[in-house]
Order: sequence, then structure tokens, then C-alpha cells
Amino acid sequence: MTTLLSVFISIHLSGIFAQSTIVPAPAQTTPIIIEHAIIHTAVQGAAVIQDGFVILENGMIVSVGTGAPVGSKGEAPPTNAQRINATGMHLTPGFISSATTLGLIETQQVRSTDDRTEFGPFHPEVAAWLSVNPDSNLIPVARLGGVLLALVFPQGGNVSGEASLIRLNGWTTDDLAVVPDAGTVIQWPSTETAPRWFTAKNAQEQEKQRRITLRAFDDFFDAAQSYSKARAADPKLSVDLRFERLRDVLDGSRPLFIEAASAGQIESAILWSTRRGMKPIIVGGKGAPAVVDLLLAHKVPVIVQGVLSLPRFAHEDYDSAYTLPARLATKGIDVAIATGDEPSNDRNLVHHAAMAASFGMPREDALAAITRVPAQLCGVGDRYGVIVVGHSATLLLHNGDPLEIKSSVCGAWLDGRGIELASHQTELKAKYEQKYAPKSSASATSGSTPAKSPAP
Amino acid sequence: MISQKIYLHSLFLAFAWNSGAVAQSPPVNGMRPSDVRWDAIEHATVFTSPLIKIDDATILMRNGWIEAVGPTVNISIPAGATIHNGLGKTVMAGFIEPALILNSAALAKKVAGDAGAHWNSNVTPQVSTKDLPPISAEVSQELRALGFTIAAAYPNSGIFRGSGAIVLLGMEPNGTRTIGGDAGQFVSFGRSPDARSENDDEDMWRSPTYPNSTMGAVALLRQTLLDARWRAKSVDVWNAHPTGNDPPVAAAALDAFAQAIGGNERVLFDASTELDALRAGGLAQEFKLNASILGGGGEFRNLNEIAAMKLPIIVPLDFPQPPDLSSPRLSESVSLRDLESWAVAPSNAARLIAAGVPVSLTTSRLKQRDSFPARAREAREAGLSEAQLIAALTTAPASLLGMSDKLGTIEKGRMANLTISDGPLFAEDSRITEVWIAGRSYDAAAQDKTPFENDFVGAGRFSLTLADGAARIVVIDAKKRTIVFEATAADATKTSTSASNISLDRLRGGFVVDGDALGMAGPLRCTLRADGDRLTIEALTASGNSTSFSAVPAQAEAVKVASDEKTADKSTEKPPANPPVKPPTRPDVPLTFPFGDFGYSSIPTKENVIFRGATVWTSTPAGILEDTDVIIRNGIIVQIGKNLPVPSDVKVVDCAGRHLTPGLIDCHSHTGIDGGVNEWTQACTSEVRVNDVIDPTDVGWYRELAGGLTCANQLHGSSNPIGGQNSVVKLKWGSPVADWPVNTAKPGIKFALGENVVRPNGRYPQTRMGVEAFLRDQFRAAVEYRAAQKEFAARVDSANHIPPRIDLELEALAEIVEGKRIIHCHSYRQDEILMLIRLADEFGFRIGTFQHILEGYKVADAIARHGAGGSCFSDWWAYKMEVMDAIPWDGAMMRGQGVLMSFNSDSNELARHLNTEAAKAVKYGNLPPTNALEFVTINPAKQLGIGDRTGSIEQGKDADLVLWSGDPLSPFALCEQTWVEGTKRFDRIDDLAARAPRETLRQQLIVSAAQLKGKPDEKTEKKDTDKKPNEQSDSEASKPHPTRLRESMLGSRDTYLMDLWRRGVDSRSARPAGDCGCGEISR
Repeated sequence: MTTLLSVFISIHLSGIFAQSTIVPAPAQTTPIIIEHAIIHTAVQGAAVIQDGFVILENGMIVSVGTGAPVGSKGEAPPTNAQRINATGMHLTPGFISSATTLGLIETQQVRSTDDRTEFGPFHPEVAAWLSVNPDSNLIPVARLGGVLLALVFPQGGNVSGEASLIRLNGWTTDDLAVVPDAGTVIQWPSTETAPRWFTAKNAQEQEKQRRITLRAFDDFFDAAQSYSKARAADPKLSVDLRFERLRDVLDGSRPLFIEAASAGQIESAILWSTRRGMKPIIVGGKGAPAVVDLLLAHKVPVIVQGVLSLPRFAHEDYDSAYTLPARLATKGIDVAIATGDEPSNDRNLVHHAAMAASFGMPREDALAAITRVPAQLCGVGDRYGVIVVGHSATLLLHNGDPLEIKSSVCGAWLDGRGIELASHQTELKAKYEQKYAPKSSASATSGSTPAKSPAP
Repeated sequence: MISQKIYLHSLFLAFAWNSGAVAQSPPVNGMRPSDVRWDAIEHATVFTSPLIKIDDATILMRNGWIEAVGPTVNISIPAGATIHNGLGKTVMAGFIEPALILNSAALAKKVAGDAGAHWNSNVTPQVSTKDLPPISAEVSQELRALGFTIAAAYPNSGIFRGSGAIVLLGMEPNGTRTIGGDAGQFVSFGRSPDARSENDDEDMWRSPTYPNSTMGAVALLRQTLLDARWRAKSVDVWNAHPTGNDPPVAAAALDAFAQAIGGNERVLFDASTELDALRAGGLAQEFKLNASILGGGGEFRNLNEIAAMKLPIIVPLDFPQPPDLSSPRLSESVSLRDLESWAVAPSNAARLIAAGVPVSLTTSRLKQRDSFPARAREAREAGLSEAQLIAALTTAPASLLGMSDKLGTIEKGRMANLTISDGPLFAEDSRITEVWIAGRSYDAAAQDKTPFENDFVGAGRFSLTLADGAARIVVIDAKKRTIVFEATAADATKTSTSASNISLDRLRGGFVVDGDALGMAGPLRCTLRADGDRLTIEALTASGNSTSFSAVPAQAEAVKVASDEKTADKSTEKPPANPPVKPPTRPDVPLTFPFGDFGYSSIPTKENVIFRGATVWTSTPAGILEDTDVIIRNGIIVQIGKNLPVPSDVKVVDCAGRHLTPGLIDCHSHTGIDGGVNEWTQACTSEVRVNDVIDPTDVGWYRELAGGLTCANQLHGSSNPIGGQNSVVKLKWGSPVADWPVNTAKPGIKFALGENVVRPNGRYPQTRMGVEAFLRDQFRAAVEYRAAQKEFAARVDSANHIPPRIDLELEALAEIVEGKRIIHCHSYRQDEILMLIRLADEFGFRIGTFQHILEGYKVADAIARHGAGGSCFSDWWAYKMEVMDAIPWDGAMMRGQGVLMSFNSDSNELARHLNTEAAKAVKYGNLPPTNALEFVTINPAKQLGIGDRTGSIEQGKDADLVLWSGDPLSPFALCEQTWVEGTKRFDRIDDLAARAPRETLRQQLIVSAAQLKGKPDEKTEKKDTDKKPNEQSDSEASKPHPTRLRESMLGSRDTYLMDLWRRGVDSRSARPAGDCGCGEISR
């Protein structure tokens, strides 16, 4: 009975919020050899390997090279390996969707599916990974677009909470968590007067509001610093969960992700955070080219949000968002690319990178901006983001140039686990293909006039 | 002589105010004041008319009228007249305020509830200014202080706001006095008459009642004008042939407009934007109205088209003020359009006059009325001559009000209204000293300002090394807000320099300083940073070069030694006597097409071209033609072939290695719809027309051209089941709006089903089943409406009967049923798709396209059978419940079932790369690339009924072409050129070349603006809360903000929009995917 009931409930729910029915991939048991692939290792400065191979064992990359597959020390490859002939295909590291809300929200318009924003202005204590729904329908769809890892951001308030790096495969949140505490996300206030269209407040009122907010930031972080010192001196001190979470952000051992768009915001945020000894990463960054010197002086990376987005202002060049990553990267700034979009569109992450490449960013750098760089920003650059020996076997096989929209992901491994390239959407596709070209004898067509209404 | 006697007689009736003549005046409690109204002003400089000036003249006035004027030597002053010495004074005819806006909300509300009221509370032409409370003493005083003696006052509430009245601005015991003349009816497009800035459409949102958009306002205007006409006709018919006709019902509102609709009463349009002004012109022409326009001040942006209307315009002097541009950071958001508007605005009146437009000036729309003299001075500096200025304040408004025989000049028989200045009019050091109103004199008067606190952490003394090794000391005083660059002892030839235009926040600041202070040339705009202990200064020159300086805290002793005494002296000194920067006027900039960002210096024209050796994607069964030439002439493709001979008169475009495709077409766009995308206030708004509100200056168009788009289907939003009529436009950036619509496109209308339409609470329908019933009922109504019209037309005695009323709503619906208008239906779920098909089949018409149609793959066979097209997103989903089942194979699967498919954008962003959207039909669905491209070329063309004109590269079709650097389905293909009907509207090479000059111009304007910001009269900005309650009403506080869907999640509209601003998103284009502007709906 219980079983029946639960089946009923799950079916019923699937009508409302179809939960992903894709089974998480199990751990890798047999070695895998992918050969004759065009390999984009995403290693800085490395050339594309034309006829390359990788050998994956126990979830790790154990060998990478050109021509016939051999072990990292030149030994013969494992004989029990599954061999994949990838002739004409491209191999890249798994993509990392940065500054996303994947898993925290299913659909914007149903409040009960939205766990992005905690109440109030300061909530550093909340951590994104805790709320990620491993069965979100959005996750398999993102995977089909090559997104295997996600740096999930809480949103809202002044201090939004803790960002978490998750892997998009697993039964539970614990399975998903890679770096639960990747850094603290804050929302920097606007520093420029908004035109009247945006607000009824005049310049003075806006400035007053800005000062109040900046003062609130100062007060909060002053208190957090005092707490940190006091707590170090007296471990018996009552624990403040908010400040506790900030301790290693304050000393710069974990990054501070600062959402800031305009040059003024970026400038102000960097001056503020570095003065306090923190390690800022700018998220958004549209105005960053105007403060490149400051970004360089303090070695601040930028997560560019939304290459496929509109210029902010009427006078900006039509391609200003397209060229932004190139304009920053050519100055020597570490650039990661994020969609800046709703998480349902995370599958298009690579299209943002492609547009950046089309408008001046070297292609391999554009790929690195969704692989190596975000991995480094999360502190897992030694495990993820590049195809080198000793790293996690987190890879994508593409049936064409990964930056071409026409190409698709045709193979994916996450920590060596073979990811099933299926989703609620592929299931629906298969279902309705049956309607039009039934494989069985039963056929179905939709009629337009089965229930005739009474003539008016 | 006789005529004068009659004249004086009528005057006496009109102005009998003397002593006990006013029956309602209270009895005098004490001594009666003497009231000898017999005055002479001697030895003044008198402008008897704008062009005639008499030095040392005398004006003689009696009982409120002018008796005589002339050289003092020629005028004999009768005994008993009070003599006023006018020596040194300039006397002009009393100024006339032609558009004083009064708060009429209470009266309009009352009238809307009276018998004969219109169903819509925005239609209250029966409101009369005469019934409003008198103009407050404060407002009269303000106006007199500016020289105004008489005003045409108007009610401010609604769309048909009511009739105005011409009012004397003197102090009267019982309020104001009105006199004759034709103030006329005041109508609006729903925007506030005192909108504080351009593009301010907030007033649309005043209430959730119809209309809430500009297109709704135009529709209401048009329907009401038709109704007023019909009303007059029905009354005539009834009076002549009562038998067999229904007696007309009470219609006080329509009756109040009867004179205006017949052209016998003036109609003043409140057109706060230049696009509204053009709309007013259109309506005036359509209904033959005696129209004039209360402008918004931005008419120069559309000068030619507005001048061509030949309508009198009342011009405000509300010039955009320079934004705070002290630091480069602050200027980041300022568009060239805003800067050019700032630069050009003062010349608006002069330009209109030069173009032959009758111009009057008004104090309306000024944030502070007392800034009028300063603004007028700017207008003069910008080309308005003294005579033109005086005329625009006297003879022009007098003529506009039909009172040239009584007002506007100083001559015998004119009203004794005078404006007196102690020097040349509105000169820097002269002021209005007094005004005379109907023979009584009134003094003029003045006002104050506000401070600010500071907490900049980097205050103090810093030493700075310049590029040439020289040293400076910078002293920053946060409290006093001063920044002084001091010379050091080692560099004693230099003097100290003070910065101006200083802004400081906690960690950063900005200022403007003479370049000499930093060893550079010209004025510098600087950013200041407190970067740790250091202070960094980034200096930007007018040419846009930036240099950074680093400063460290100065050693106290060293500084003392260096220049202790000197600085003490200097710091008490005022800023340098001769500031380095002078240009006192706003710079001149050429007008472009369109005005502002990315405008062309002239309207682009057609060219005859051969595209040589391209890979041509024809979007025909011929597919791709390699190495092919295409010749275009007069906007038409005339020849396609290999190695065509090059005609001598065509331009050659070398296309080697390039791809040529048809211009891309967006079957679902909301770009360039002015004043709201949704008229959501009623479930059916089939009468509204997007065509009425096309904004050809929306920068979105240019960006879309840069992505190869040439044609768009501008759709109403999806907040109601039956939305508005669509508009199919070609993207003719730079050309007047009249050129944009594709007139041969099949007329269409937006319908919507599903979640969006049931969102507005408290109205039918609230369910999908209710939507079906509602649509069925509406179609029935249309059928019956048309039948009644046909029946009437068939009557032999139709002249004796009241004709059926023209109902624009039912007209559009009847056209649908007749197959003359196609439905573009926003729809997602399969059940609702089948519902509409069933309904259409039943009424016997075919649906044009299903839009979004993301569950279309589930019932593609039924859609194909009905013959509707489908236009979907390539891959959007999950933004709401009804799209949880959306799949990216939708387009290809529907096509597989035989549905004519297109991909659309519904977004200003996606519309910029529909080519790569089309590529997703290859990725998902495996379509051949040529078929995928057809999703954004010939297929949408066919869906819009323009497949015979555009959408493919074929001989005889419009030359709508895009030149790509490579395979158009690749993100690596750059759009190099976009041609619309043989005119090149975008060229990437030109675009790249124009960037540096454009930015230079922007920077130059910023520098000019930053310099002018320092001028004292620019600085004072009174708080809005200082406004008097009776003044131009609709204060910020009383104005509810637009409400948006997300607002309910995020608190107020301000919070929502400011969050977008903070995140660097242009709120004007921030619309959730697939929501068709429905984020803008409410509650």
C-alpha cells in the first residue's frame, strides 16, 4: 500500500514538478581510453592536441598524449579498457557554470520552488549546497549542454551567503558537494546615481541610501573582524554563526565573490575589500575595463556574467558585452565566463564562451573561461578544469567544434562516471516521436474537434 | 470712435471689479481705499511689439486698458494720473503663460460620477477650468515674478482632461478672473503634464483602469473622437427624424467635445515626448482638429517631421541639466543621446521657429518655475533672438489663444498688461521688477538652497610626483569638500589650484581640475581612490586619454617647511580668479538621424549594388549558390547569377569568402514599442494598435541590425486573451517612423492563452476554460456587429436612422472572423492550442501563427491540419509552469509534421543573433542548415504575409540582405553589412570607425557639461517636496509606480528596478523570457 501510494505521489508530482528520473552514474570500474580525439586540455598556453588520447581509471585521468594510447610512463594501456574511437570529435574538460542558481530554483514563477534568497540583508551563514535539489529537472538539461560542475550562488541581501561548487551527478546533496564553502557572495550597492526611470529617488536620496548601505557593510564586517579576534583569543566565546562563516574570508584564505557591475562599484568594492585584507573576485564586471589597473594591482579575477547580453547603456558599442571577456583577458586579468541567466539556460554556457571567442578572445582561452579559470577560482584548480594527468576524469566529448552551436555533447564523464545524456526533455521527445511514428501498433493522434461545442 | 465705445462697454461688463461693483465682495470695514486707475509710465524703453522698440517712451493706462503709447515727448499726461518713472526700465507687453496646468483630480472624479459621464474616467472633457479652485496666491506670485500677467489654465487629470480658461494673474478678492478667448480642450496621451524627464511613462500606471499604455491611450482617443462624431450625427438624425429612432441617451462627456470635434474649439495636446507630438499631429489630421501642442522640449530630435505638421507648439524650457559628471565613473552611464539632448535642448525653440513653427513658451514642466529666466537666457544664447523671445511670450500665445486683439502688444485698446524688467529681458544681471495686470501693478520677488556631509577616509595631505618629476601636495578636506593642489617650495613658480565639481564618497571621489595642477593640458576629470594608505588619482583628458598618479601621505614637517605660509594664504583665498575653463554655453552638435547614439549624419538612401562572388543562402528550394553575384537596384533584387557583367552604375561589394543571406525576420518582437507593451487593463483590447506607438529611435533597433535583422513583427504583450493589433516593420534606422511599417503585411493581432492572461485578479477569465468562453463570446459579438452594419447599409431609408456606432474593438474582431486579420497567439499547452483551433474552425477562419507554442510538438499534427504556423523559441523553458514541458526539438518536430515554423526572439537580446538561434535547429532536430536558416527568413516572412516581398534572395524581391563573414549558422560569423530595401542600414566597418569619434564627442560633451555644472544657477535644486500643492499636481508622492510581476516578490518597484540598475541591466529591456512584457502586470 505504502509503495503504491508513493508511486502515485511520485507520478502525481511528476505532473507538477517532474523530478529527474535519470539515474545517477555509478563509480568508474573499468578503464576508459578515448583515442583519436582533438583534445582541448585548457592548460594555459597549451596547443590543441590533434590526434590525442586520454586514459581514465578510477575516476582519474591517468594518461594524456598523442597517437597510440600509452600509459603516463610509456607503459602499455590497460587491456580491459573500454576504447572509444573519437575520430573527428573534440574532447574538453567538463564545463563549470559559475555564479549560477542551478538547483536552488526550479521555476521563477512558483515561489515554493525558489530557494535562492534568505531573509534580511546579511546572511553569510547560509550555504548554497544545502538547498540544491539533486533531482532538479534543470540539472540533466544543463549536463546535456556540457555543464558538469556548478558554482552555485545564493542571492539577495547585502551578504547573500556561501557559494558552493557542486558536481552535477549524485543521489544526495552530499554526493553533489565538491567545495561546500567556496567563498562568500556579497552584493555591492550601486555607486552611481540611477536615472529617474529607475527610481523616484533623487540624487541626494540615492546617495544617502548608498551611504547607509556602505556603512552597514562596514559595521557588519567590523563586527565580524572583532568577533574573529575575540574568538581566537577565547574559544569559549558564544558562537555567532554569521561571523563564524566569515572568519577565513576575512583573512583572505577563502575568496569574497563580489557582485558588481559598474566601474564605480568594482572600484569601490575592491578598495573596500582589499583594505580589509580580503581576496575579492568580481562577479558581473561589465564596467571592469575602466578599472583594469586596479584589478591588476590587486590581482582580482572577474567572472563575466552574460556575454550574450545587452549593452548596459544606449551609447555602448553594440558588441560591448561580446567583447568584454577579450578586453579584460588581453590586459592579463583572469576571466571566467558565466551565463548570468536563469539556470534553465545553463546549457548555453558554451555559447557565451563562443561569442566571446568570436569577438576577440582566443578560442582556447574562451574554453578555459568555462573550465580552468572557474576551477581555480573555487580552489580546485589542482583537480578540475584541465585535462592533465592526475586530475579528475571530468570530460566532455563533442561531435564537432565545442564552440559551434551546431555541435553537441556526445559523451560526458564526471569523476570517471559515465553520464547518461538524457533528461526530462529527451524523454518527452522520445515519447512524442512515438505519437507520430509509432514503433508499436498503438497509434495516437490528437483531434481538433472531438468534443464539439454547441453552435453559438 | 463708435467701435471703441462698444468695446469699452463690453469691457466694463467683463471687468467690473471696481469698488462696490462686485456683488460678492465683502463690505469695506473702515475707510474705502481710493482706486484711481489712471497711470502713466514715463521715460521707459518700450517694446510696443516684439520688433518695435521705443526708447524714452510713455505708456498711458486707464481702467485697465492702454490709452496711449509713444515717445515721452509726444504723450501728454492728463491730470490725476499717477506718474511712474520708468527710467532704466524695459517695458514689454504682459507675458502670457499659454499652458498653466492645474490639479483637477477631485473635479474629474466628481464629474466622472455625474449623469451623462463617460464609462471611462479618463474621458472628462466636461471638466471646466472655471469650476476648479482659483489659482493659488503662491502660483500667481511665482508667475508674476517671472513677468507673466495672464495664463491659459488647464485641468491635468485624465486623457480628455477638459476645457481650459484664460485667467488674469492678479490678486483678486475672490480668486482669479477668467476672460474670453479660446483656451480649448486639453487632451493627453496619459502621461503626466509635468513629467520630470523624457521617456517618463510612469503615469501610464496611475491606476489599473484602461488605458495603462500609450497605445491604449491613442486607442481611447481615437474611439472617443469617433464617438463624439457619431454622437453629433445621432443627435442631428434624432432631431430631424425622431420616429423609429431610439432617443439618444445623456452623454455629457461627448457633448462637451462637440465643438472641438467640429473644429470650432481648439484642442491642445499634451505631448511630453516628440513621438507623442507626432501622434497628436496624426490624430489632428485624421479628425481635422484645430490642434496645437504642448511640447516636451525634445522636438529638435524630430525637427523635420514635427515642423511638417505645421501646428503651433507651446515649448517648455525644461532643458536636461548636466548629470553629475565630475568623475569618469559617474559619466559611464550617460548616453550620447542624453548629452546631445543636453547640448541641443536650449536651441529647441529657435530651431522650431526657424523651421516655421509658431512657438510660444511655457513655464510648464520646469522642475522649478523660477529657473525660467536662466533657461530663457540659455535659449537666447542658443539662438533665440530677443524679438523671438518676446514674441514667444506675448504675440505668439495671444494669437494661439485667439486674443491678439486684446493681448500681446502695447498699443491703444490693448489690455494694460505689462511686464517690466530693469534691464534687457532675462539678461544675467537684470530681473523682472514688476508686472501690470489689467492696469494694476505688482512687485516681483525671490528664494534659497541645501548642504551636504562627508566621510571620505582619504582626507589629508598627500605628496604627488608628476610625470616630469615635479612634486605637488594635494590637500583634501572632506568637511569643506575642497581639494587643493599646492605647489611645493621646489616648484615655486606654480600657484595653487583648487579642484571644482567635487564629489566624495567614503572611499572614492571625483573632481575636475585644470590640467596644469597635474602637469597636463586642458581640463581634467579625475577619479580619486583611497587605495589603502595611498591615494591614487586617475586623470582623464578631454580627448579621452587617462593617466594615473599615486600619492602618499605627505610628511607633516616637510610640508610645513615647503609652504606653510603660502598654503595658509591660499586656502583662505577663493578659487583662482580666472578659472581655466570657460565655455559658458552648451556646445553645438549636429542633428543626426535618428538623434543621438548611432545616428547617421543624413538619412541613408538606396544604392545600386552588385554583391560579387558570395556564398548565397537563397532560402528557396535552390538552397545555397556558391560564388554568385546579386545585383540590387532601387531597393529590389534585380539579378542573381554567376559572373554577371558589372553594370557601370552600380557599386561593387566584394563578397569573396563571405556569405549573403536574406535579411533575418523576427516573428515576435517587442522592440521599439513606446509607452508600454501591454494594455492589460481589459480582457479584450483589440482596438489598440502597436502601429500608433512605434519608436524608430530605440537603440535596440540598431543593435538588431548589427545582428542581421531587417524585419520585425512588433507584438502587443500577452496579459490579456485578446491583445492589440501588431505592426510589421522594416528596420529603417535613421528614417522617419512613417517609413517603417510594411504596409503589405497581413494585418494581425496578438492573442494570448494560458497563465499570463489569468494573472490579473478580479476579472474574467481566471481559467483556461474561461478563456474559451470569453473568446467565443467575443467572436459572436463581432459577427453580430458586422451583421448589424450590413443590415443598416441595406436600408433604403438609412439617412433617417441613427447609424450603428463604429466600435474599433469589434471592427478588429470582425476582421479576424472575415479572414482579413490573422491571429498571432501566445500559447503553450496542448489543451489550449486545440481549443483555439476548434474555435477558429467553428467560426471558419484560420489562425496565423501560434507563438511560443512550446508544447506544439504534442499536437503538431492538429496544428498542421488547421494550417496555422508556429513560431517558437529555440530552447527557452522552465521560466514558468506551462513551459516545464518545453523541449528544444519542438521546432524541428513540428516542422516534421508539416507546420510552417519560425524561431523568434521575444527579446531585444536574442533578436541580435537569430542566425545562431536558427543553428539550434541543426543541433536539436538535425535540420539541414538551409532549412534551419529558413526558420528566421522565408518562414516568418510567409507567416506575416510578406513572403512575396522578402525572406528569400530571389529576383524581384526587396533587397533585404545580410553579408556575413562566414557560415551564418556559426557564432564566428560576424554580420558585416545589413541592407534593408536596398539601403545599407548597418556596416560593421563604419560602426568600428565611428566608435572613437563618437566617444570623443561624448567625452567633449561630458567635459562641457561638467564645467557648466559649476554655474550657480545650475546647482540649486529644490526638493520636490517644496512644491506647492496647487501647482502642477501629480507630485511624485501621489503617483503610484508601475507595478510588475516580480515586484510582488521584491517589494516596491523602486527596489526591483534599482536592483537591475545595481546589476548593470538596462531595465527597459529586462523582461523575463517568454513573458511578453507580462512582467509588467500587477497585483
